[in-house]
Amino acid sequence: MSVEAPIAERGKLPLAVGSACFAAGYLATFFVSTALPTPLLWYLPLERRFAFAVRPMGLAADFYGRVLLSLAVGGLAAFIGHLLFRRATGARLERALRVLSVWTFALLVFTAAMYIYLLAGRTALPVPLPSGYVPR
Amino acid sequence: MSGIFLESWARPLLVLHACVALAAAGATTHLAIVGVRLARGEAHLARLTRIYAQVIGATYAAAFALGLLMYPHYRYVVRGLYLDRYEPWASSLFDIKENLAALGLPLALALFVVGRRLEPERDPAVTRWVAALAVAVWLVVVTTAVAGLLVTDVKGV
Repeated sequence: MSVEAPIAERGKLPLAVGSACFAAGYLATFFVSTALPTPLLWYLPLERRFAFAVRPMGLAADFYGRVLLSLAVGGLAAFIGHLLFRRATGARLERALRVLSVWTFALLVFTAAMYIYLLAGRTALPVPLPSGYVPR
Repeated sequence: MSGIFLESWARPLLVLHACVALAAAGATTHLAIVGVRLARGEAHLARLTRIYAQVIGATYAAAFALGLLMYPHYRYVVRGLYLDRYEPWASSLFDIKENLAALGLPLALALFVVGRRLEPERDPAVTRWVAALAVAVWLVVVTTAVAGLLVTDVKGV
């Protein structure tokens, strides 16, 4: 006998739980990869190439790598959530959605606050001016 | 010219980015109101919620993708050469905006995936999740739009 809950009882809850797993996984990765030294894909705009490093030399942007990593881990979290809850009842899915919602919004607020704290106190390091540069 | 990716396209990309972000701001404002009313029992707003969820998913992703395309030019020409040297507060504000937009991306995608199939009569818990996502994405979009306007006022391209 199957233990799977009737489809009608579950409605769109499995989809909502999967989306919450994705969001929580993405935000947790964004937070952890900022708080801890994490190897990422960096883009070097002057050299027009990517480099995989914790912090490469010269002018480089970690934004692409961090978003890609967060999307990948978020996708993995959604897949794991699907496996964990594929036979869950409607009541269990509702509980899971409540818990995941709290985690998602807590991670959002905490990570945003961390970025504001880190960036508001940052010392800017301008790149050397090319010859003939006129600021405007 | 410094050979930066899409450097000659920076201005049209910025205008397009601003237009799409404006559409996202409008749609998220509507959905934040509609979503909260729907969660409070006004089931006749379900169809409108499904439409706005799709519009937000598309406009948020498009605005984000356009921002990614412009980023190499911004990082060197706007921030590296100018903002970091003459207006460091704007440089910090842009990075806060950029990371806030990245933090809102999974919420906008979740809103798109769940909101477009919402059936509030059957799924009150899912409706509350969609309403919470709608308010969070609205906060992110409005904050990033205002920050973007302030930075562009200092130096856009």
